[in-house]
Amino acid sequence: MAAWVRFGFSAFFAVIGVFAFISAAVGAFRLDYVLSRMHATALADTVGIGAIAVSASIAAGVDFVTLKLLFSAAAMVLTSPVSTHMLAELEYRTGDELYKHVKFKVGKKWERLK
Amino acid sequence: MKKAKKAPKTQPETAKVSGTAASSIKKWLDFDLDIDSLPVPPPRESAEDDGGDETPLLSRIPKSAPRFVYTALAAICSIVLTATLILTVEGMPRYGEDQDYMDTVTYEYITHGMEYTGAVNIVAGIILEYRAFDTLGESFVLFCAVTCVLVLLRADSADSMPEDVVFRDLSHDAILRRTVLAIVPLVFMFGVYVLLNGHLSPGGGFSGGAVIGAGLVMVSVAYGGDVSGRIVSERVFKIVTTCALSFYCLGKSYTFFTGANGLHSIVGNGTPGNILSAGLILPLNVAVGMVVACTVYGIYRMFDKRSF
Amino acid sequence: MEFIRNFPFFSVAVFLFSAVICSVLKPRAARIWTVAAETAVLAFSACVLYYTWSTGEFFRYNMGHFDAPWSNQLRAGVLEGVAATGFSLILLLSHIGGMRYVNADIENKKQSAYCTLLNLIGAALMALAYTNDLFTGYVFLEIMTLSSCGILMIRRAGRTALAATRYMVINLLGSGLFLLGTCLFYGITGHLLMEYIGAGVATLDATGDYAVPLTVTIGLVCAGLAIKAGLFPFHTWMPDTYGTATPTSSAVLSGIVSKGYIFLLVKIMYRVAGVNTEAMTAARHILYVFGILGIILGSVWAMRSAYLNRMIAFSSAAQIGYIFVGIGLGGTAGFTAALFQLIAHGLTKPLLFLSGARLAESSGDSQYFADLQGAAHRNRAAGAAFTVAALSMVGIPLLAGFPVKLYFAIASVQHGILVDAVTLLTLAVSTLLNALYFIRTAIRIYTPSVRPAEKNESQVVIDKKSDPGLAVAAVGFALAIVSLGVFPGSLSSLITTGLSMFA
Repeated sequence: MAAWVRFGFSAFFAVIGVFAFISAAVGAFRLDYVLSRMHATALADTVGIGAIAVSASIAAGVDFVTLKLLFSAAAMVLTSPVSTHMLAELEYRTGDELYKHVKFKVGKKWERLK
Repeated sequence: MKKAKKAPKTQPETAKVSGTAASSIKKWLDFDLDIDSLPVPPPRESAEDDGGDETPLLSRIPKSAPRFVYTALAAICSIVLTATLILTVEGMPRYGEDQDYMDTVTYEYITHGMEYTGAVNIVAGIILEYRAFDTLGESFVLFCAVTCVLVLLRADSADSMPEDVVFRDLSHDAILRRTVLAIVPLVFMFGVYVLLNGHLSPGGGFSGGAVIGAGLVMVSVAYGGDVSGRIVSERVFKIVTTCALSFYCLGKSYTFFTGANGLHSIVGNGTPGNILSAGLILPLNVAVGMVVACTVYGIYRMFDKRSF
Repeated sequence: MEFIRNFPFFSVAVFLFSAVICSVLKPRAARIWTVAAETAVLAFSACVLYYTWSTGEFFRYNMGHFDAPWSNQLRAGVLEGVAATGFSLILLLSHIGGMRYVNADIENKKQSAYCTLLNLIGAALMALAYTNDLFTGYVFLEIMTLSSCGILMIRRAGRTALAATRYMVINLLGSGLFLLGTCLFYGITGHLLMEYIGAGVATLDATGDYAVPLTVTIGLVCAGLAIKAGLFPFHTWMPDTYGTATPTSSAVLSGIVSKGYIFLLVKIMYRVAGVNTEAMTAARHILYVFGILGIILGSVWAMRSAYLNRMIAFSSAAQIGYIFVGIGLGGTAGFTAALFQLIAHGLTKPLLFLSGARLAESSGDSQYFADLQGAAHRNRAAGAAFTVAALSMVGIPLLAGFPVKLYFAIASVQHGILVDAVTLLTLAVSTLLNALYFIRTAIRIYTPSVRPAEKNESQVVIDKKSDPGLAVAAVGFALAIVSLGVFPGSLSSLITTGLSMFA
């Protein structure tokens, strides 16, 4: 019984992770603006790897391997959003198509600038 | 001088040979010393087009064939090469197949590797003891690459940097700084660990050096060239590369010389498993790691900022 | 073990160490150190040649404390000694000859880097000459590719970046194919030392196992090295590259870098794949066909070029074709002819580049043929040197080019009527074409130029810049060309002896 509970939790997290990766892959090909694509793929690294790491550590039990796995997943979750942030900032500073796709706040309203 | 000018002028008049081939060859061989009838060289572009140097453009860019010719040729070459290689792989020995005559070298490495080189990690023993000459060459390949990049990209003054490079410089971002502050000590520690444990576990000079180099690049990206320049400036780069490569060259030359001449070498093998063992492998790993770290960082700085 | 057996290893180590040192020295000290290193290696190579020739056998040198199949090895025989001596002599003379141009063309801060790159080329050449291991050959081939790209693009003038990029892409293609071949050789024989691979290949030939991989890998290795050396369809980088580089770089590249690759190819043919196996014979026939095409078309394009450097570059493509024709003809006679041409062309082409640069400089820094008219009167030494080299290219007797053609004719007679006829016809046509453009240029530089109205002073303005380096180099090369022409038997007997102990 305990084995089935463990399997259930592990499978739940694994499904979340796999879904994140698939949606990231689909989004990277189907979306048309770089910031949108970045939104899709950023989740893959963070949510996907985190969830799969949690799932693997639940399945493996308490072990030294689990500690290493959680540590490397934590490093990934820490650094991947930062790299996405840097890319987005680069796009914000130098992108040409920014004004076509993004709405800015003018006064109290959000509108698309020219 | 006047005679020389007049005499050949009579030649074309008398040289009315029949047949266009003979006459064109003769015309081509004769020298018209009249300055006006010399073949006119193609018009030289103005100095600005050449970037200010004096050598003329040596050829027009030749007219190329229509685009589909190149696409078709590229497709044909790729398909032929891929098909050939797939057929080759199909004919190669199967994975894990045992052939007596083929495995002499690998059996020797596996059975006696640790005993003769002192390294628990057989791969480190192979690349730094059995086949050390190749690794010496590979370190010099890295050195050559960074020399070429320096030659090509180093800008002489900082003022020549275009404006948008300054604008695109993202190195004062707070999020990046905080994260790098948290991560970089761990990166350096990990790199040093991989470097020092090359002979005991998978790792070694090349991989450890790459990790350390990546750490240096992170510091440069987050904190700008001033801070990372305090760690690795141009002077440090030159000193580290020169000392590491000289040490590698001289140390390994000592080993090659004593080995080939049958002399006894003072470098012993130690107990496998200790950190101070395996002869020269540990110092050489450190040397190679330093070279690789400086190379990775140097190439990044050259491509990004064109100076250290 | 005699101390002289360490000399092959010392040659490589001296160049590697001085490459590292030169990167931190000031330009003048780096130049002195480099010339000293080149002289030392020349002495080492001559000693090795003398030693192997007088004892009459080759020797192996283990790199490290381990024995043959598990360690790295160098091997030195008469042929390796000949190659090493030739390469180091040409490197030394080209460096000395072009030193004034290096100082003028390259920024002061980068001149130490230039010396570093020359040292690395020297180390790679010595290693390719002496190596007995296929993977070591690949590593030093990489070093030579990277450093030759470096010495090309170090000069910032016009199209150098484009020429160097094109050179790099084509060379990397060749390196990639060669590496694939090396990995396949290891995959089917399990060894990396050349002699052991050769034994494995002989076994596979006898049993017929792994026939497809063996054929493919022989093809890949030959194709890779032929691409790097500049065989016919892959010579397109030559004109721009040699045209825009500083004269020492052109001399080094055309004189010894291509030859280093060809020497490695010959070594692989003899030691690894077996010269007369079916697959290798088929590959050699293909190289022969491309060589013939390269000879004819290279000479045709040389006639149509507008600049001196481009003409010399296309002529280089033609002469490399000669070497591959000799390899294709095969047998001791064919390979002797090919290797003799390797050394002779390596001595002649650098002299053409260096003296051509001097002539162009005294004609108002112009390489156009119209401007070069009468250049020999402005600088007599350079004109004489250029004439000697040009006549040697054509194949006038008493110069190095004549024995080359003679040996090729002798080698081709030993084959069937078709191959014989094609080779002799190609030799005749190419000699005629070479004469058309080389003798024409030699005549042109001696014809007094008339540019009347601009200068009222005397027509002939002697160029007064003194260049002792170029004088030394020109005398050295010219002496070597003449001595090869007058005493060809010495070199060819050395080559034949070396080939008998090469396998």
